[in-house]
Amino acid sequence: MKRIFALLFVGLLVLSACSSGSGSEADADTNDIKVWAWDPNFNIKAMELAKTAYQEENSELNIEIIENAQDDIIQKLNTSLSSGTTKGLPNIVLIEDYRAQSFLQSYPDMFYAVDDSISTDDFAKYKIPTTSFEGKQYGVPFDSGVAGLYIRTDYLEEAGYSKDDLQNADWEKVIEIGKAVKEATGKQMITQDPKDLGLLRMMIQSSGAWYLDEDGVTPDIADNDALKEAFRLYKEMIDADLVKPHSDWSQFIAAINNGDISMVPSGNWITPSIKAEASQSGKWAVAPFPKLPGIESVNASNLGGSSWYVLNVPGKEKAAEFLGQTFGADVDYYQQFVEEVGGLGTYQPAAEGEAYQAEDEFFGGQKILSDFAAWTEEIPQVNYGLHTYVIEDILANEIQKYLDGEDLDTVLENAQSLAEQQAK
Amino acid sequence: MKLIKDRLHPNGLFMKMFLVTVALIILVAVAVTFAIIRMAEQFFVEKFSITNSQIINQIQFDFEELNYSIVMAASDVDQSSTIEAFLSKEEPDNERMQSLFHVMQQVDHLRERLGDQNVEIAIADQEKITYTTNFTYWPADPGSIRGHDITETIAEQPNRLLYFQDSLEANDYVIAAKALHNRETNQSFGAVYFPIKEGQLRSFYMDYVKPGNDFYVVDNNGKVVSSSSSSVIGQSLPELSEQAKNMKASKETYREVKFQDTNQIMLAEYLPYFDMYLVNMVDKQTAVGNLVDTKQIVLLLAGVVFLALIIVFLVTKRLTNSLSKLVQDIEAVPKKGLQRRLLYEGTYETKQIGLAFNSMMDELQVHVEKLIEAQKQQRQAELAALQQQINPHFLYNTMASIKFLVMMGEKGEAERTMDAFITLLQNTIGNVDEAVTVEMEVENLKNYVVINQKRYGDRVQVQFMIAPDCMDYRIPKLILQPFIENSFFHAFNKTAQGTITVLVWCEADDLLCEIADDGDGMAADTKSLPNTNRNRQLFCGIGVKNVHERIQLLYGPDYGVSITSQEGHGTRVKLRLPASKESERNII
Repeated sequence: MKRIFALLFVGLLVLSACSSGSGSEADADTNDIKVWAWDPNFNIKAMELAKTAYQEENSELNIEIIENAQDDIIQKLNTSLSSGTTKGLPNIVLIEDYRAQSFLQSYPDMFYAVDDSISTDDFAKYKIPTTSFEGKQYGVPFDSGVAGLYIRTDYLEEAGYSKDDLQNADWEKVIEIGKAVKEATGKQMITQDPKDLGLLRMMIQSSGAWYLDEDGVTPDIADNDALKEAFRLYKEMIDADLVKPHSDWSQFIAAINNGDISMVPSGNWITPSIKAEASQSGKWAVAPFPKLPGIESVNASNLGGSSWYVLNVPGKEKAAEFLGQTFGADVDYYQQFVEEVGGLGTYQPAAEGEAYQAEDEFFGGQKILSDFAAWTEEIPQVNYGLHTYVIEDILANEIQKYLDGEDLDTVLENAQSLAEQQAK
Repeated sequence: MKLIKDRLHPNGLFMKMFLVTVALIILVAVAVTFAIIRMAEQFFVEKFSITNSQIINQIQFDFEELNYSIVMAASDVDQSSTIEAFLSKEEPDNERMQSLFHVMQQVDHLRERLGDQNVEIAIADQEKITYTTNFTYWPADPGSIRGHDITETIAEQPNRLLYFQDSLEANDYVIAAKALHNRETNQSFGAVYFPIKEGQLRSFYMDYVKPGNDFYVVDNNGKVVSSSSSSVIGQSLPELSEQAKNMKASKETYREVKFQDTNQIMLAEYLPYFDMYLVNMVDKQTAVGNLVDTKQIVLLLAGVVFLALIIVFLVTKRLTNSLSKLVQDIEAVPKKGLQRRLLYEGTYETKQIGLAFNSMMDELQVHVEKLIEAQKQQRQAELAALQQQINPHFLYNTMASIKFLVMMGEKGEAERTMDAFITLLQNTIGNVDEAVTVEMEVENLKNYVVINQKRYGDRVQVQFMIAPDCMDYRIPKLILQPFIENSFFHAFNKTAQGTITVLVWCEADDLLCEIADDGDGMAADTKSLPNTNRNRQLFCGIGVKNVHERIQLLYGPDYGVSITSQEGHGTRVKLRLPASKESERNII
């Protein structure tokens, strides 16, 4: 019996070897394009729209969209690429901007440059450093993570403020308003996951700083003034009891929808979640992201956002062309993307489209898309580099010490040396 | 042709033996096949259950390992003062921000220690879930635990880690849960949950799943917690847990059950920490059905039976052949005479029968030959005795006649008579056995006539009319003499003179002799010839009467003597004999 199984097994191996051997030959000009992405409500939907739009004119291309959790995609990519194989990988994969460089720098040969398919000038500038490597454009910039400060205008009014007070404001001003609102309504200002330092990231990027130097490798923590200021502000908010802790996404959304907090500093992709609570229509507005006080910074920043990458596997030319024709050229597509998904792209020509000019009643008639599009252009370019999340884990730990009363410089220096050890 | 016909006779030995053997061969073949298939199945199921119980032990080991990891993590959560403080104490949000961070860090750390066990950790206070390591994995609404069955059950059994089946947003989970207790105050301050996606449990056994080989994890009440057939997850299949309980109680490795309308081989193992049963269901048809290639077996069976039939046919034919040949030979024996012997061949028995038959025939023949010989000898003795008794009166009378002729001075006549007498005596006193030629017999007759004419005168003339081609045929010696003698002495009592005619001729293969006289004849009622006066006869033992018997004895019923006679017109005696030139002794 064992022998038979062994034989069968060998047979299968031989068969699969044969089929894979012959398969790669045939794949050379395949019409099957596979796409990996996460989040069915946003990324998958966006890709479906692109597929539909593209197939109207290129019906021979068969695009298969496969949903995977982001962690799974990262794990699979790392596993496959580090072993030098592209077997089982898709043609197109979605990668979060914070992680993009670690892939591009580690496996540049595994990705296919899309310079011929898109024009980098058409996209928001801040997207380019993170999606390119050594002068070659690898990523097709997708959604904008342009940040804004979502505010409960009704709570602000109770404390005697309006959204105009938050135009071009800095964080000192915001904290002042938050305190006033808390006094007036008892509502805290923001909700925060103690492990998630997205707020700090937004703050430092508004001044063009990052955890790393411009080279994308060297940790820049101890002498990072923006980060220092961000830490200070973070502690100030917590000490003033303006921060409501949450531990996961559902608690985050619950805090927003329950009306527990007066402001949400976040990427534009939070809009649908906020609008999910229809009873709060008209009570929200979006202000530009606050500046860092006393430091050169702008009222614009970014949180999250991702881009499409073409892997260096058979079918890459067609995959790149598909991305270029849709995400890199099709204004109508972005109109649809806005209307049907509520998402904001980074393709600049699309911002002149009609859909961007729509007034949103939920936000008191504010043309939020147009605003976001305008802020997108202002987002300072930074090199996210390789180690965003490694450093963030260190910082999340260290910031607790700072909150406990340790000296800020000591804490940051400690973080700097930890980062230098761990992030190489 | 006849042989075949005989053999196919429904009552014939061949048919009977053949049909019975065929029936038996088929019976044995079918019975053995069924027995072997059954044994093979049994064997396979036995082997199979051993393999599968090893698999089940492996799976059980995985389950226990998972349980151990969870137990360790649960106990760590239980003993963590940070977590206890976080869950039980009220504190301002700014402090809570920090304690939440520490709790998260600790729980994340525990989660990391769980390693690749795809299990997440959620901690909850009395009211709601406060932290989950992976909300996407188990997107439970934080408040949903309040009043939930799980919460209530673990509250009743505070020191135990319990497992529950639960579904959330189309995903099936097994949730390990434990109430968290302060040891000093014995107050419950929350609970820890370990959501395990059903797929994680499934991965323990998924490698072993094949079509027809399904796994089920059922809790004590029969609720399906995990299964390779995803449609039944969450359903209640109490028969599974019942069977499993019985099996464990009676320590059976496997049992055959009817499940979902098919025959299945069921293996089960109790997972004590989970209070669940791991059940392996193997579709018997899928597992064993392919074991037996019915077509091949039928073909093989048919082939073997066919071969056996040919052999049986040939052997039976050989056996019965010799027997039916024997029977035929025996049947033919009466037709073909005693000389016929059987060819004894074939089996021992038929050989012996043939031998016995042949030796019986031999003995019979010897016996019959002896009998015939004895009879012959007896008759020859009789004839010899008869012939040697030459009537002394005849000698005396003839001698007297010759003396008279000598006295009369008729020397010539006396000499002729003397010659005739000498020749007659010479021929007759010799061996009576001998057959003599017709010519010699006629010579004897002529001598006899000469003597008689000398004694009694010439009033009776004798004429001989012999067909020349008959001269060489042989006839028993002195066969005609008694009739001439008879005519001499009886036919001419009333009639003064006459003629006796002797005719010999051939007719087909027969030799016919006729002695006709024109004397007195006989009355129709007395058809037998009278006995001659003893004094005048040449031989006193040989009479006309026993010639007929003698001929018949020698030659069979076709031959013999016939007499026609009419009073006043003479008598005609006709002898029919076979025309033969042989002179052997045994012709007599």
